[in-house]
Amino acid sequence: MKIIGISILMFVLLTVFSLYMDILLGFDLNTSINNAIRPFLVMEVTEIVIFFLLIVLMVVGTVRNFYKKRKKKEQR
Amino acid sequence: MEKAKISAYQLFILIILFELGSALLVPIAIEAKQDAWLAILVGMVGGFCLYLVYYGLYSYYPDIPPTEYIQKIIGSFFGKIFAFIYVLYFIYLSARVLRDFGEMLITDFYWETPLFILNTLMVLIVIYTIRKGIEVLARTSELLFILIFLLGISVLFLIVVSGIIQISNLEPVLEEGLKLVIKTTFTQTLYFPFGELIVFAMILPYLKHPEKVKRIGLLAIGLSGLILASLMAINVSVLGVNNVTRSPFPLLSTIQTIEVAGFLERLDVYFILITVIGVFFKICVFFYASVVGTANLFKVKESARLAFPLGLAILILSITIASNFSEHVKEGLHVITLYLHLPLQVIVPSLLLLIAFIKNKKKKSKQSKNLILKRKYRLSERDKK
Repeated sequence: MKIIGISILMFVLLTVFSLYMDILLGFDLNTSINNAIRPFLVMEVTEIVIFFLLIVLMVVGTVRNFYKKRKKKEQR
Repeated sequence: MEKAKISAYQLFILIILFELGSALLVPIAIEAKQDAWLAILVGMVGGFCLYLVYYGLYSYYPDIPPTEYIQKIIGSFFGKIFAFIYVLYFIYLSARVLRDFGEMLITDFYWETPLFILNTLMVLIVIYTIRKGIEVLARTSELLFILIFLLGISVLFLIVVSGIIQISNLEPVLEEGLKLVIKTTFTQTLYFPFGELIVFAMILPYLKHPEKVKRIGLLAIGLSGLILASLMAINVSVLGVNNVTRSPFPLLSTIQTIEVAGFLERLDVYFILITVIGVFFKICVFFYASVVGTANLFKVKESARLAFPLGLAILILSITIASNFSEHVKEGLHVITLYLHLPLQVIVPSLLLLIAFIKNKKKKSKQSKNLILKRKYRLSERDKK
């Protein structure tokens, strides 16, 4: 769970970072947010499937590790 | 920190592959026109100075990564903030290199394939490598360096044999004086690719022989600088300044003009192999530094477990970073250099070195004062006896 928390924190900060770079380039906030989101709106089915598969894999891996650790603690 | 060690030779190869990585792709220093090669060489000299700054910091704290020694130098609170900024910076740079790679493939080879798919394939390989650790990365670099070396030699041979080099394209040298070369150096080549070596500060603590760090680093920077300068000189002499300025990937255009004996042509695969290998190592090094840095900052015991989630963040960031290739390039040339590279590669490390120097001097003078006092005390006790 800690891992997912760290990753989400990093991702949010990096997105803010990237938006700020767009603003420094001369775009306004709305345009830079649109530019960031647009590539995901025009994805093909295969891309969407792979994208969600990767997210599911990440969540499943972390949750599995979490339960494994819990079991180990209980056994002790 | 991972319990791994890499040899001096492996570090040497890693630095060379890292430096060549995406610098081979784009027309670096082309603002200096036909003196681009000179701007790269001057940038290389600046790279030496920057590396000596990073080495200076390393020599004060040889066993710990920068994310830890920053906290020792400027205090825990500000140190953690700066270390976190550096980790974000490394992730951001790896996303930029990944985007470069994807755009290169899409523009020239895979017109129908979505950028997301190409980037996903690369990220999955990078994640796998990083999960295996720095030793595996270093050994892979040893293997692939031989391939790159052979490819480079054969490309050079074919370019020379096909007779497409026109030295007159490199003339007049210093047409607009040294000013333009220096300006290009300080706005571009000093930071990309030489200043990016700051990421190796995260890898230096893994070296088996710390006494070789300085020599090996300077040697690798020198060699990669010479390779980049000569390649840029070849690009300009083959294509001419105007074509290099207009071409997004000049090395590819140069390789495409090779034609030997009427049948050895269309050697684009050389370019793909060289750049894919180089870019792979560049992303890996940035990504490894960010994974180790994050694990160190957030006290995660198994840093390998961070590889997949952070890899996913890099993948998404590489897509959202810019809406098109021109925006991506413009951002890299004008915004990143000024607002990220300059402070994080030059200003902050120099200030850190200055503070570390003053701190260590104070410590040493305190220690020597204590020693003198102890000796005086002993001598006086002897006299009393």
